[in-house]
Amino acid sequence: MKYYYLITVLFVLIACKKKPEPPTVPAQYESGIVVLNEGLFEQNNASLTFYDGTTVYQQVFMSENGRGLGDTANDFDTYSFGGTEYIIIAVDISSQVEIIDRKTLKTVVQIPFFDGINAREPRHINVNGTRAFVCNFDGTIGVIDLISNSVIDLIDVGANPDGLAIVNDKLYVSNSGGLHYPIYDSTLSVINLSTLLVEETIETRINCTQMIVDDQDEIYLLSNGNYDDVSPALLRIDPLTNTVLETTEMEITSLAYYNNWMYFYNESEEAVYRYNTVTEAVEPTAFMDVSSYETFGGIIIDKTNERLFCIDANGYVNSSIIMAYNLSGNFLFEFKAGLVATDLIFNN
Amino acid sequence: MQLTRYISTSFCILFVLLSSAQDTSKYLQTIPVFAKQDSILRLAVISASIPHFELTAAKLDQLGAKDVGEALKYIPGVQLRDYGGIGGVKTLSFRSLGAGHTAVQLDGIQIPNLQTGVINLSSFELFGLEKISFSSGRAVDSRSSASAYIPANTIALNSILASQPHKFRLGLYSNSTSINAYEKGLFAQTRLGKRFFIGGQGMVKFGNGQYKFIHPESSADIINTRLNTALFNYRARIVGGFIGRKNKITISAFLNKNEQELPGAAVLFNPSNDQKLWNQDWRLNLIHELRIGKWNLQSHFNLQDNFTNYQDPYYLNLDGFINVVYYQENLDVGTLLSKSFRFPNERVFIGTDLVKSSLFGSNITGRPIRLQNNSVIGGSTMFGKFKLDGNVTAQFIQDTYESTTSEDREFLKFSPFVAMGFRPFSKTELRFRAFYKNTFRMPTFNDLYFNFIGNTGLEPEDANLFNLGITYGHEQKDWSAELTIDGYYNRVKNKIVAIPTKDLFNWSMQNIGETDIRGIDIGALVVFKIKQSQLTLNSNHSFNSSIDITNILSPTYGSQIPYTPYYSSTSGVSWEVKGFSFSSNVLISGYRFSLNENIYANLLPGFVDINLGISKKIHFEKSSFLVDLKLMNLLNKNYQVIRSFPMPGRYLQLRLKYSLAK
Repeated sequence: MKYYYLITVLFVLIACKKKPEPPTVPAQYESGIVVLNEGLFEQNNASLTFYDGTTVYQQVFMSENGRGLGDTANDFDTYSFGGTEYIIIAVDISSQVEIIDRKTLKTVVQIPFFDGINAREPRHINVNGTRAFVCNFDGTIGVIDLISNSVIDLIDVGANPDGLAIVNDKLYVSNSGGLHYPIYDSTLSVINLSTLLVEETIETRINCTQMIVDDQDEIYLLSNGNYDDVSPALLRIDPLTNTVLETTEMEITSLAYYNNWMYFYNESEEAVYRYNTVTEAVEPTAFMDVSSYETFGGIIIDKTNERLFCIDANGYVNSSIIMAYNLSGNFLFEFKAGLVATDLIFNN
Repeated sequence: MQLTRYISTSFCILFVLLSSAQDTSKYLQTIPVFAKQDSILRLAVISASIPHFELTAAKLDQLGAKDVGEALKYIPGVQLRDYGGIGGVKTLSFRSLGAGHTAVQLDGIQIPNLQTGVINLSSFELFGLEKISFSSGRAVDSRSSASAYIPANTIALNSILASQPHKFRLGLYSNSTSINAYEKGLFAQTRLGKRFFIGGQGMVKFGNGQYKFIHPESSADIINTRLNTALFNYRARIVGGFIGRKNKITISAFLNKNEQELPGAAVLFNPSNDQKLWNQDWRLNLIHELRIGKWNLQSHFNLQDNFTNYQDPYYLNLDGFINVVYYQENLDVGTLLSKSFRFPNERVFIGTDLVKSSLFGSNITGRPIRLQNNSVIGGSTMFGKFKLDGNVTAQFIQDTYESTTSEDREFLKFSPFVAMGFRPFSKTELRFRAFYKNTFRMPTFNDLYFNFIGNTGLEPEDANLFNLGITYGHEQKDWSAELTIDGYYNRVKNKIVAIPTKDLFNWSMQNIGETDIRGIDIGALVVFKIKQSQLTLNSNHSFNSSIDITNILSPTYGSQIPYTPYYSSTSGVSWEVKGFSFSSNVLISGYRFSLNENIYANLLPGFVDINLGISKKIHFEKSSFLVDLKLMNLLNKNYQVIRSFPMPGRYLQLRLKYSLAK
């Protein structure tokens, strides 16, 4: 048949489009960077990426455990107990806290967070000693005992808590009320870590999320505004008196702290700026121009090796790029992570 | 006044179109070869100068499909977006043009949905349908109004109720499945005297719809259950009419009430789903047809009302729940004048429709109202070995909405369509065909006015379609065969896509996409008649390359667009003997990607869906009874057409059908 030729050509053309190969696993996770990729809502594609300095390994959680991490993994933290190091991950839409071995990435336990049939949605995790504190979007703080890996308490806080910080044996929880638009929450809950009771609720500013604690034990709190006529602001809080010392309206998001400098992203300038936490002033010139980024996604600092990492989230629908800089802002290297990279852990 | 200006503009367009209509009626006196009707007609209409497929009631029985969406997935080039389950949404893309480029017509009347621009194909049952047609390039139903000539692709549904009645007709239908989904239906139609007829159809769909599945992202030994899937839906339609010597009047009314649970995405480790959806829709259609000699004037009046209520009883906002309601109203009046020449399909026509649509509801800014004037002028002629077909449509759109800042939006878009058929030998059923169409998909109300996401500055999405094809038919005493091969090239510009603006929570609709679509669709069918039995074999294959060419600097430049397999195929075999029918259908889809980036993390594996069926039809003097048992998804794999929406595994489907015609 004369169209046989045509069909053959077509088959060849299509065969040329190589189907992507399944990911491979590295020989070790002892040394390298673990990236938490949030994935997209209801796509079940939260994942971990591992970069050993030369090669990137995608979907390493899936490879090591034979299943997906879940849907929308927002945050992770590390801790060690009984001589083993662990990573603890908050998986929001799957409503699970997943504990894995830091050096093998094999799962240890999956802790579900449900109120009856309703998902509590764990968003952020802070580990303190043998306890992990999980802020759930349903307005509760889950307390996990890391010896028995069980939930020992649930503490009621404000609406849609979305940030955690620990200072002086107190847990500070920023209640964003992010889903309560247009009436955002504007409070900070202060929980005593020995009694696990809310001691105080401080009035702050609308839609507060991320918190940073500096070396003087002051809290810097990010208020996102309402994305319309209320601009974002940085709030400085004194944890001894639990009062707001200063509110500075400015273009600010994605906080990271190291050695008396707080790094943040200025969206309209498309640049990373620094704020000195001793002089309490923003450095007037930009620390780093990041206007080449498609979508700026966050700053993470590797304190051990004194490196600064920035995430290009690439429109949230394409793989994120992680770029490394030294603390003078000079580019070191970059690698590709998964979908919506959100946090890094440095294994040394 | 705005309305005056709107009407005067509409008339101007009509006038321009009229004055440009010349000479289309000239023809040569020899009998054109395209005037001869084809003897074989099974899936592809090989005499058409555009890709045109027909699924008859008998064919629909064989496919085992429950709704129009499931039936159309067997057409080459169609990708059905199937969310699974009994109440799951089904939409289709044809040759990588999305659902917004495909219109649905019921008995010549276009079904509007200005809110999302797409029609859920699972809301049209197959019971009571005589035929489904699918065409690309232009609408094929001669009852089509001007608006029907605008979209790229058309699904035309022909119901029994609107067709020429017998003295009396009755149908009973029942469908039961082992995944707890049931359907019952009834229709009756009778003549009232010589000139009048009336008929009605009622249909109920219900069941809890639960099925077991293995989540593709979880380990294979964990069996989950798809929960929150119950549905209760009933629909009724009445069609009455008058058939005179010159006049024909048809009046129809439709009511749909639907109450369903929404299973949502199958989220790993989180089975909680409690959303609910209510719909209440009604339609009223009035069609008048006046036929004097070779002149035909048809006019219509359509009114449609849709009410939607969505509830999420547990949501972490201030209220603790979500409750949204939408009211949509469409009013459509129009007329189309045509004159036929030597043959019914050789004609010229001109028509215009005035459409008013409004939407009001939660999260919709400023109660948008759209006034639309759709006009068409066109014709088809045959001479010698050629057939020519063409039309031009004009869409004039004016959107108004309550706002303090923005002005009203207006669009005027012309879309040409030309097609040519060539049959070199009058004794051989070999034909060549080609068409070109340029069409615009108007931004929907959601694209424009949905809170925060909507962008009132959007331009229409622009699509150019080219098709070149060869069709061949051959018939012998005891066997016949047909073959169609079409190559196509589509280019979509100003594609309307959602992109994030500030962060993951702030998205906006933008005209930024551009896609280059090339492919080949091949269909073949062979029928053998052996003594008292008939064996039918058919196979369709689609090759498609749909490349994102939006931005050369983007990592996805040159990538295959989401949910578009490079290769897909459908095949079927059936053997009919002594009222028994044994059939099997196989659908194969190659791998696809769930997002723009062609990487392993976005890879959705290919799948094979096979069904097996056995049926027996018992004929009585004036009635018949059909028992049909089908084993669906033989391979029992919970494949995903859409990521996070696993399909049911193997299940049984039993259908009983009784029909009486006097």
